[in-house]
Amino acid sequence: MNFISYKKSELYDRVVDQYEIFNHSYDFMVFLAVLGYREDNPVREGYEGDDSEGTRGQIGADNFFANDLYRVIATSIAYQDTGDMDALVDSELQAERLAQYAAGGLEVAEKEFGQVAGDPTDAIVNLTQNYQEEEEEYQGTLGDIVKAFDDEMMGIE
Amino acid sequence: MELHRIELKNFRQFENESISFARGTETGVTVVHGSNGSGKTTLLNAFTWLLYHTVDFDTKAEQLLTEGVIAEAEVGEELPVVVRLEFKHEDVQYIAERKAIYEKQSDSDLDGDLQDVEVSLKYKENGKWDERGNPENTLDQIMPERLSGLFFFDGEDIEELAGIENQQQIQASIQNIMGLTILERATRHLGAVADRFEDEVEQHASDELAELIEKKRKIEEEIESLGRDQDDTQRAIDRIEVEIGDIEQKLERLDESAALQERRSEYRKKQSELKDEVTEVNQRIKQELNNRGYIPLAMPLIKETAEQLDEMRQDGVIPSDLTNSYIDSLLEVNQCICGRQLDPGSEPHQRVKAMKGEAVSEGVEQSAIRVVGNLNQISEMETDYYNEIDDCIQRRSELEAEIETLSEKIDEIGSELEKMDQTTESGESVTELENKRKEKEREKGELHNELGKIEERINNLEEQLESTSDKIAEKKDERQEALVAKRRQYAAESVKVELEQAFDKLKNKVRRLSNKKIQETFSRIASKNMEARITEDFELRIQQGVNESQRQVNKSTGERQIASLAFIGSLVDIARERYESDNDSEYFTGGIYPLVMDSPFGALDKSHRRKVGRVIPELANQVIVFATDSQWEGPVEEEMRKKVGKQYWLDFNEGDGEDNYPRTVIKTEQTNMGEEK
Repeated sequence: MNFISYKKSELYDRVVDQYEIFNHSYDFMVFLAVLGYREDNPVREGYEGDDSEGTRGQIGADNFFANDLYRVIATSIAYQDTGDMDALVDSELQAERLAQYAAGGLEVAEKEFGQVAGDPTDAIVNLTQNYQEEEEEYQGTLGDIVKAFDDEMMGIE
Repeated sequence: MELHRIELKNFRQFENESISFARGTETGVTVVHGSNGSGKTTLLNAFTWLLYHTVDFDTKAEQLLTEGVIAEAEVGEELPVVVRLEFKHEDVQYIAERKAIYEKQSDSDLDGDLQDVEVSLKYKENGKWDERGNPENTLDQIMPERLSGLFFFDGEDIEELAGIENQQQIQASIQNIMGLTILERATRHLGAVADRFEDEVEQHASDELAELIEKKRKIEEEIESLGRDQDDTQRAIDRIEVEIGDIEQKLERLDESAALQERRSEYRKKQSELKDEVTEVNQRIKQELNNRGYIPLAMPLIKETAEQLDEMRQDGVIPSDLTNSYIDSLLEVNQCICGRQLDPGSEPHQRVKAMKGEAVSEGVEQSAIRVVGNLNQISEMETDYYNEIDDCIQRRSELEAEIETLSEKIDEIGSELEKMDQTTESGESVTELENKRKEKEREKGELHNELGKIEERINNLEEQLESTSDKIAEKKDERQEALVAKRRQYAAESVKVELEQAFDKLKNKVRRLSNKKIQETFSRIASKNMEARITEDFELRIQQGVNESQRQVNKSTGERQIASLAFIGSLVDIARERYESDNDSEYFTGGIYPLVMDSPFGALDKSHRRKVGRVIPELANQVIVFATDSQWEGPVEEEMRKKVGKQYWLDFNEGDGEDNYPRTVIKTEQTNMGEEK
């Protein structure tokens, strides 16, 4: 797999090229994928875009998977979406599900900040802040899990 | 090109005169002294008339023939106007001559009717004189007309180069001297070629395709027209900014308003710094969004995944790759870690084998470790993200509040100034000046709005253009001719784009090269702490505060003149250096050019005249200066004296309009000033 195909819209150009909020298309794509997952809005049809409509984007798979955290996100999305442990290692499946949730995230983003006149940075910041309170609840549980997992793996138990 | 001698016959007030030019690097300066109206500018025009058949006279532009000569001639008599120039170019001697024949039409006719103009160019080869078949072309190759404005210049207009509307001229000059015009022309021609192929496509196209092409053209025309509007509006804004600068300078000079105006400038400066900081903060926010903005959204996903991986760990569903391979090794040697025999099929063998995890794909464990191993980091990143974003937003609010306070203070100053009544020498009161300034600010605001609208329309049209072009590209037209023309059109367009990119890069490269030279030259002439440079938009700017907070200075005529002189001198110098270097570039071969300058010291004060006088002879091998006594005497003379090879004086007699007509006699005093003094 050399490339990951994804559905793009003019919003990609705005946030990457015009307002330089995201450095690369794949940075925005990850943002959209987690947004799509968060809003439980995967798109199963046409999530790779369409060349003839000019909505197909492609990113280099190597670049994408070279980022450890992006790999974690893609792995988690694929695993959550399929419930199959093979999703933890199948990068083609990870790319496919990532693109499906990114396409769903794009729909959400279009509604949330796609129509903002001018630079949408603040609108995107607001969107992330809306999730802040909810997040704080996770800290405790998450910490416990990490600790338990680490101890087990390290043979401390 | 080295100028040797010019002869004028019946050219304006010069009936039969000549000048031999000084040559040589040590004494290459020729000075022609003349009072105002004595014919200095006419001499400059004699060069351009001979070489390019163009003249630029303020008065009686049509009249070339010497008035006295035509007045004394018979009706029907044919009279010649001749300019003859002897020069050397690349070791070949040339004599160029332009001759115009006028016929006197009536007793009162003082202009004459032009009958014929011819130009000839003789050259000496192997000791024999021969004539060029196409003299005008050869002359243009030796001393290109496009460069004429640089080398034959009128000092009274020269400061305009450093004006606000001369980016085109600056850009053209740089391109010309660097030989880049060939690229510019190539891109233009390719555009025309692409258009021609598009015509062909249209001719052979289906109705639908023809309609699309027509639509594309209309959009292109509209974009072009809006582009012109955009340039005009930008120029209008630049002009208003200069006007506002002038008004504020006046306010700074008046005792009553000086302190307030100064404070207003300080507030504005502070405000501008704060705005820069807001931009920086916004930049930080964007960086945060890019680097960590996805983390808060990803938290539930990561939590769920971590929980499930944890459960699987507890259930033993995620086996350790390490454990499995260790158990395999025990089974292979048939011996447990406790020493017991593990015979296949035996109970101990079965029990040890059962300790292996379920069969899953290789790498699952590593992948799970990666997910879980990054959890701590992700959690920290989320906290950092929110902290950084909160800091940025708070800082931005503080900055915006400060900016607002400063705006209020600036407004208060405006109100105070409106009440003051001291007047300038020209009778404008502080109140009037302030009101005028406000009006200009308002106009500027409107123009900015206008510019924004134009830019938005251009953007929209460019999108439409792109989608129409895509549709045209997708159209599989049925006619072979249309397809071939379409392919050719795209080929021409693609080459054009490539060339344009190369051209832009080269243009900027030579701009930087010119900048270096211009700064060197300018710093030798102008006051300290000031620098002249060509901006990315090819504007010749004078700035104050080198290396620190630079600000554009409202240039006086003198400063503009210095910047323009530095610019022209630098280009001549670059061309000379390039010519003398060993480079083998096809595009920029450089050349030796003389500088012929009419009143180049006009608007300068004494100290600047001295510096210009010192620098100019070093920039070109041959310099010809036309100057009034007041421009020449004193510092200029002191600096240039040793470089002067020849001097002439224009003796002008304006006549009485009846029997005596205006005439200038060139007094040839071939005195070597260096030796004389």
